[in-house]
Amino acid sequence: MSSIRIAVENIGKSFGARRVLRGISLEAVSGEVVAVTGANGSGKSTFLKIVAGLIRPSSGTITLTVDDREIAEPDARRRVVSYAGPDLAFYPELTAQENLSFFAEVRTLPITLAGIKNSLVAVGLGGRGDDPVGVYSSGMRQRLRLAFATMLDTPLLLLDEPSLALDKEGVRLVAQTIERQRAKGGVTLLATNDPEEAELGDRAITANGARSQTFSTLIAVGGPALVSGGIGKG
Amino acid sequence: MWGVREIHAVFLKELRTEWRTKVALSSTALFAIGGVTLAALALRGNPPLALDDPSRASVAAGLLWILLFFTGATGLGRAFALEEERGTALALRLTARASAVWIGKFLANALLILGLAIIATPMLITALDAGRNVNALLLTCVVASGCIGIAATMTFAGALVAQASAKSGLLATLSLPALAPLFVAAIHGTRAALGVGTRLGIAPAFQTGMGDLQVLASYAVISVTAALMLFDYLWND
Repeated sequence: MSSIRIAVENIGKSFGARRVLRGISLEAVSGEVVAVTGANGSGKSTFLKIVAGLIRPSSGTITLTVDDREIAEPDARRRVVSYAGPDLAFYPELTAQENLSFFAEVRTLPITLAGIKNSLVAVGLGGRGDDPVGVYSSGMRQRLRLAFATMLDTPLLLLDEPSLALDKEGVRLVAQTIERQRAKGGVTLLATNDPEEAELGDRAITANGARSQTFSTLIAVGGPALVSGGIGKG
Repeated sequence: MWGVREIHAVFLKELRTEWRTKVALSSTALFAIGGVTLAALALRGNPPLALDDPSRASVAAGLLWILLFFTGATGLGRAFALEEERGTALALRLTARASAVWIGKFLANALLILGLAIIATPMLITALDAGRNVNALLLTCVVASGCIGIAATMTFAGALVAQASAKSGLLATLSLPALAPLFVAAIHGTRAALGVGTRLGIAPAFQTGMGDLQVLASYAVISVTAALMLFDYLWND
C-alpha cells in the first residue's frame, strides 16, 4: 500500500453560531491508528467527515500526502479515504452485492464480482449477499459498512463507532480490519465512545466539553511528538 | 472530468432503484393519465366545446406542456431528495465524482420524461382530436428537445432543493421561471407541429417551427452545460 502522512492543523468548525470544533491538530503516518474519543455530540463524527473531505472546515488546514504527493482537493481526497459510520446508508431496494458493485463501479475499482462476494464473506454476510439491504438488521448493516470501507482499500481508513450494533464476532471483525489496515501501512482514525475499542489505537485524542459548551475542543492525549498539545497516554 | 463507466453505473442504478420502487413511475403515470382524461372530459363532454382546428391544437399544445412540467416536478425532482433523505448521498459522495452523478441522474430523468411524453403526447392529441394537420417529425423534435431541457433544469433544481429543509413546492417554484423561455418556444413549436399557422398556407410546419426548435435545442445545450459547471460546487459543498 502507498505511504501516507496526514497533518491536521488547528481545525475548527462552526454550524452557524454553534461552534462544534476548535483548534484540533494531529499528525499520523503509515501504520498508525489514532482513536478519537469523547462524549456524544463532542464533534468526533464531524472531525472525521472534515478529514474525509465531506465537510469543509471553518478554519485550519489538512495536509494529506500519499506517496509524497500532496492531495489538496476534497474530491481527490475522497479517492484515498474510506469511511464507515452510522450515517452511511445503502440503497434498501438493492441487494448488498448490488450496492457494493455499484459503489465499486462509480469508484472505478478494479474489482470483480468474486471480489465483492469475498468482501461480503469476510464480514460474515456471505450467505445474505443477495438479500435487499432493506431487510437487514442493524448489525448486518454495520457489517456491510465495514465491507464497503475495506472494499475501497484506501491508505486512510476512517471508522466512526465501528462496533455499533455488532455482536462479539463483529467486534473482533473491527479489530481485524484495523490490524489489516495497520499491516498494510495505512492510517486509521477511529472515533469511539467505547474505552476498550479506543485501546485499539496507538494513541488517542479526546473530545472535550461536548454537551454543556457552545463549542468543544479535541485535546490530544496521545504521542506528544505527533499530536499538538499532547498528554502522554500511558 | 468524468468517465463513461461511472455515468453508466449511476444511470443503471437510477433505473434499477426506480424499477423496484416505482415511486417516480407511478406518480408521473398517474399525473399523465389523469391529466389527459380530465382534459378530454372537459373539452369533449356533452355538449362538446365547439373549437376550430387551430384552437384545438393550441389547447392541446398548452395542456401537453402543463402535463410535462408538473409530471417532471412530481417525478424528476426526487432523484437527489431521496439520496439525502435516505442517507445514501454520503456513500455516493465518497465514491463518485460529481459530474458522473449529475449526468447519470440527468440521463435517467431524461429517459423517464421522454418515455412519458411518448405515451402522453399521442394520447392527448387523440383525446382532443388535435392531430388532423400534425407534422409528426417536427412534433417529435420539439417534444424531445423540450423534454431534454426540462430534465436538465429539473435535475439541477432537484439537487438544489434536496439541500433545503422545506422541499414541498420548492422545485416547481424554482424551476418555473428558469423554464419559462423553454415553454414559450415549446408551446409555439408544438402548435406549429399541430398545424397552427400552416393550414392557411402561410408556411410549411418546419419553417414556422424552426425558430422554436433552435431555441429549444439551444436551451437544452445551455442548461446541460450550466448544470455541469455548477453542480460540482453544489455537490461538494
